[in-house]
Amino acid sequence: MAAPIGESKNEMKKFNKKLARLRQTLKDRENIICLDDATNIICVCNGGLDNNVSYEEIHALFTRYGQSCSVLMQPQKSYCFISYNTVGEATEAVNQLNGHKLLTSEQRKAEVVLYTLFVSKVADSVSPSASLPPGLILLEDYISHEYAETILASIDLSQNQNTGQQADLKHRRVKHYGYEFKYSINNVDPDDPLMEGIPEVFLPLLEKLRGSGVIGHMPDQLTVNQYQPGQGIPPHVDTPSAFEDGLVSLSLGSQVLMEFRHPDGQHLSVLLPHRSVLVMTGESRYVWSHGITPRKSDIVATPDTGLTLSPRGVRTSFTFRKITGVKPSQVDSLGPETGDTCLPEDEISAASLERLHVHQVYEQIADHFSGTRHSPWPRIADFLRNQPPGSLLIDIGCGNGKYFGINKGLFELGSDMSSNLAGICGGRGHQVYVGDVLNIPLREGTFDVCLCIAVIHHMSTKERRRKAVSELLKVLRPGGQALIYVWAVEQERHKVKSKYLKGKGAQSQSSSESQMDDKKQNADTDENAPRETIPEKEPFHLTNNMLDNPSAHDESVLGEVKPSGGATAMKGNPQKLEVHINRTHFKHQDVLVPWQLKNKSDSSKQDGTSAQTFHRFYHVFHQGELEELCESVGRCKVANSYYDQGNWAVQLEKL
Amino acid sequence: MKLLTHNMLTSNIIKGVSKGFPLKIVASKVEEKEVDFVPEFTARMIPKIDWPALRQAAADLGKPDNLPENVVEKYEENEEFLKKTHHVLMELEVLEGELICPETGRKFPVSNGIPNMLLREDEV
Repeated sequence: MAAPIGESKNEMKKFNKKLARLRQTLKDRENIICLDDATNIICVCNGGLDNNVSYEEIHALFTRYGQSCSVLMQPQKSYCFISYNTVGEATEAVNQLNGHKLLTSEQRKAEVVLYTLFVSKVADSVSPSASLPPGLILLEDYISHEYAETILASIDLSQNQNTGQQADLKHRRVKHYGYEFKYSINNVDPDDPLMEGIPEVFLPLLEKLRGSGVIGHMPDQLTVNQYQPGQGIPPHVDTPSAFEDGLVSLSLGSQVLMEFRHPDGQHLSVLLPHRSVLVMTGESRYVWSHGITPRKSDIVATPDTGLTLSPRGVRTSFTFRKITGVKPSQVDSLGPETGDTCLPEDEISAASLERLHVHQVYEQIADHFSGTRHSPWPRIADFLRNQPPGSLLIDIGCGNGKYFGINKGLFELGSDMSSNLAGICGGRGHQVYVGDVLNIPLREGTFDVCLCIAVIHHMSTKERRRKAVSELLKVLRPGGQALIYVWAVEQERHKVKSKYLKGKGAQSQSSSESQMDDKKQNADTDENAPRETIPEKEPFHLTNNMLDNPSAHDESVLGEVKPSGGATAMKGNPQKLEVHINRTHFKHQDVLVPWQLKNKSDSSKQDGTSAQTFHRFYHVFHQGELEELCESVGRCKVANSYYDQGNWAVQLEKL
Repeated sequence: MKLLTHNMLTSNIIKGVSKGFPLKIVASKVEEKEVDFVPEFTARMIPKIDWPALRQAAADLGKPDNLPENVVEKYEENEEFLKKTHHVLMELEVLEGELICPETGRKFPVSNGIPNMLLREDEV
């Protein structure tokens, strides 16, 4: 491997050391094994989307050494893969580009140095997994070539077709038969069937599936999705209350890798070839999410057990479902993983849950809470600094106003539901009012910038979360920007735990609840921060994280943890809202998160009993859920979305 | 509450209220605070504010303050105009009082300079 020419011996040594380190990291974190001998696949470290490097840049660079060059970018990775037809081309590329420096660009504030390594095995997430999620059935070559042709010829997805219910979503083209799947409510309305049922051309397929016992019912709803190369679908679980168990998906056209993820972090990629049928039952239907990463190619196995890059073509999927007949109004519209009887089922109970478990709590912990919130998060601060002078900023859920004063050229107005927090903010000389994100009392179309940090996850129904986004957009002028942060289910990415999970735990007095999340996000340790407690008599699970990382918890906390059954709590069994254990992985999307208020007059550190514990309601967001929510509201464009220390963030532009 | 903030607030969140703007101010305590005058900043605010509402607000505070009926032409270059506007927008602070919905008469209290715009459930 050649280092850049002209390096001194010392720098050469440094370079090789760096390569060796990267090699180890790839092996440890991504399970990618790098080889000494040249192969035709290269892993390019630092050449990934996470480093703001684009497909186009990498492609332009690497095609110089072979026209057969294919580039495979992955979301949220700092590396990418390149494959050539020949080992010779790959070797030449490595010789020329190892150590190549990419200069800064509009998207990229810092230079990046590319490091190239030969690989035999790529990350699991891009190559098909050997195993399937439990309950998943994949039937290859299930229909004949002729039948496939007949089906494709009978379905017209062109714009002027007026049968069925058709729409162009951002990522794909969709058409419904039997019942329309309404993306705005993630549900079907059993009282509102479409004119056209499932076309007859599918009868032989469905009868074969039923006859062989693969499915026990006759589907009555069909959704046709057509994906162009580069399109995908965000990870999701099909609404449990809307459809029976046993979802059938026929794939025609291009192959695609479908990604399945378990809430505990397991990830399996399943290759769906042309003419295959996928049936999701049981755990794979209710617990695992599925989605398709928007890419232009997939890594697939070759007959000789090697791997190759296969470009995607147009793929059409046909998803057959049987609706349950349960009306959307009869169930909570929350995430599919709940079904919790204690979750609000209507506006009134949702409002009262939030009053009790959000507003009153912040009101009571305001002083204490504010004391733990002082450091602006860097990416949020950058967003504010990038706004032109004279912009009007509204910060909904401004808390103590820690994002004010970062950009002196703005006019800043804050809003908080808690009059105590608003009082603290106002006391610091900021403009603020007490108000509700669900009814923003501001002139429409006026503001240039809107910040909404750690607010929307406190809304207890999907409808209310949509309303919140809609209200933010209401006050923005066309072209105005909103930055929204919500707490993520995923508190670990790329095998890196969020600061919230890690905690600081340096003293028995552990750090603030949310290093992380939260109303006012805070990345600092704070001596006055509350100590984490595990409330007595609450159910909890011993998680791997706690075993791995006992330093995050002080002795007394660990001593109280009792191992309990499995961690399949996300399944559809009705249950009450559970109390989340701070600094562990989330088991549910809808949880109560404890905050312990330490009595200031109580100077005894050891005595935890005088502290009062409050529980705040959170709906933590899955990957992709925030974007989907915003898109379902409309009137906006997702300009950027990213993961930031245990939070999902989205930057919207009002249309 | 500065009058620039007031200029943004509306009561149209109340069920049945269409415009809810401008909110009438009944102030029991108003303070004048000096704020650095940055002409460019004030000029940038002018297109964003509702001028008649600003004049009305100043009048509500008993400070009609020689604001002209309309924004003057070439206001960017008119330092005197900008300075007057700056004073009304940024330097008058309503500390105690009420904001009143022009359509329903609903009162929103202002206390310690902070308006409370929360509604009861039956008002939404």
